[in-house]
Amino acid sequence: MACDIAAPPCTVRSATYNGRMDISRRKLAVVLTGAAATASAQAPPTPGPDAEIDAARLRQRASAQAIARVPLPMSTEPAVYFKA
Amino acid sequence: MAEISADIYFSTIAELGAKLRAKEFSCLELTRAFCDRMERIAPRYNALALSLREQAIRQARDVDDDLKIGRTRGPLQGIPYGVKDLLAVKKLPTTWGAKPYAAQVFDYDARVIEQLNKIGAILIGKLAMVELAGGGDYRTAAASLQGPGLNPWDRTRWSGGSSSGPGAAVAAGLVTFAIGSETSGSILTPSAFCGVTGLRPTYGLVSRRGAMALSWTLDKLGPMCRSAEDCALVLHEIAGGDLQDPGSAGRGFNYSPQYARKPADITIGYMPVDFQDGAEPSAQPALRAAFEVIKSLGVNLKEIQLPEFPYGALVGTIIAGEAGSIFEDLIRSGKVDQLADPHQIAGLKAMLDLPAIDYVRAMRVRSLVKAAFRDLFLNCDMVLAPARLGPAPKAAEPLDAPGPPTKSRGGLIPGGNLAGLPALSLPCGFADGLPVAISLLGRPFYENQLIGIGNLFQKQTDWHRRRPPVEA
Repeated sequence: MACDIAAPPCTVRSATYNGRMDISRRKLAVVLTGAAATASAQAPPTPGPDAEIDAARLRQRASAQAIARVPLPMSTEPAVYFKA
Repeated sequence: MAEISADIYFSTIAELGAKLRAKEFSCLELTRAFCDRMERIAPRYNALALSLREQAIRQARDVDDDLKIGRTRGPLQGIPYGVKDLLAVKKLPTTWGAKPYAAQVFDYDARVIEQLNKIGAILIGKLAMVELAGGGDYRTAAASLQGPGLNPWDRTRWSGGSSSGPGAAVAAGLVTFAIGSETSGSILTPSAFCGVTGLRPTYGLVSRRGAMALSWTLDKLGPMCRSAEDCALVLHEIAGGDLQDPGSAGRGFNYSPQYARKPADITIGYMPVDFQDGAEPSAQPALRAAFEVIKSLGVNLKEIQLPEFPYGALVGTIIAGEAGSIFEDLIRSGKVDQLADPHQIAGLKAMLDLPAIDYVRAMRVRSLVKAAFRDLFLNCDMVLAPARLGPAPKAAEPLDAPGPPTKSRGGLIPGGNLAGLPALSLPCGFADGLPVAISLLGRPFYENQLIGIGNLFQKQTDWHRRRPPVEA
């Protein structure tokens, strides 16, 4: 259990942790569903793994386009040499 | 046992070597003290991948035996150092900062470690790094097996990457020097952010045998130290041809300050905006003051323009082509998903879709970049610029979060790397309590010239002598 250092010492006992809940399961379900709906409406969309890969591919394409704008004489060889 | 004072941990190589040879303490005592300090303090910065105490103590005993009979092996004999955890150390884990490689063990030492072993330098630790040197385009400081690299000047700030452990460890006095690596900025950036002096050698000057490959045509190894002279002393030992590194230039490096040209014979190019209002506002006063110091050395200063190229796109495409091939098995096996940074995972996966034509075009344009820098150096001997445009960003924030606006174009780090040029990062002041640095970019194999100007700058300033608030 995590205790906030600034708060009074933790005195929660296991018997009282959830033993006196004054709420029905139905009411709890309504509250939780509402809270979840609110949270999902407010949270910024987080990209899934596929969206991240697509974004990386787009960045690669954008780089290729930027490089393609550099005038390149046909005689220019790549900056790497094979040595026999 | 001799007293090892706090000053010892922040001594230069020459200072420490003199005390060892004067027998103020033994190499064994020094090594134990450094190991104790590194093991105690490095975790504060997530800077340590693996302590090498046992083998370091064995090496230290050998050095003491040598010193007893007067067998000296040069200025690095008995000096404690660390290496970025992308260098193989025989029969011990080499993690490359990445979970999929956490249990990786090689049966040989990297070439630079062999070279440093021969002259009696004491390897005390493997230092943390950004996972896979950040080749997949990471976005968080936490992209490392050891956790986010934290800055000894302010632990809420990033130590820089990808040589995060070497930067923090040298700055905090945990090692006297470290070996880092740079593909595009990984020595200069942590050196600048942590306030240490870093040298990125010319491509091919230092063998990369036993180092993780990220980009065969861009990777370099180099020293991160307390001074420009220390960088020279380390480079003197680790440079040299190696038939087992296909990128080796087959050349060595002799530190020869006695042949340094007079400042009046040296022309330094610069872009005025960099030292006016081009950098982040907090860094501008330190950069302007550094420019004045350089001017006061008596060198010729000349305004230049950096050649226009899409440097970032070129470096990104070349790394994608080469790293995609290097890490193909990792990516296809799905183990890439064990990396810490989702952005980097996605970046690595996308590399497999890079068209060959895009890679080859980038390498052809790179030939034009090389030619353009060759032309630039017809008009000047070196280029002066801010090493980074501002101090270290916050470690908890995304690294691509927009910072203060800047007018400088940057481009010297990727441009210099594309052209394979050497560069030296020199601490030059502080912004918001964090180090700021200038950098000098030189012609291929002109490291002596960069170090000469670096030495003169560091004789006029004491920024490289400043220590972060490291408690014992």
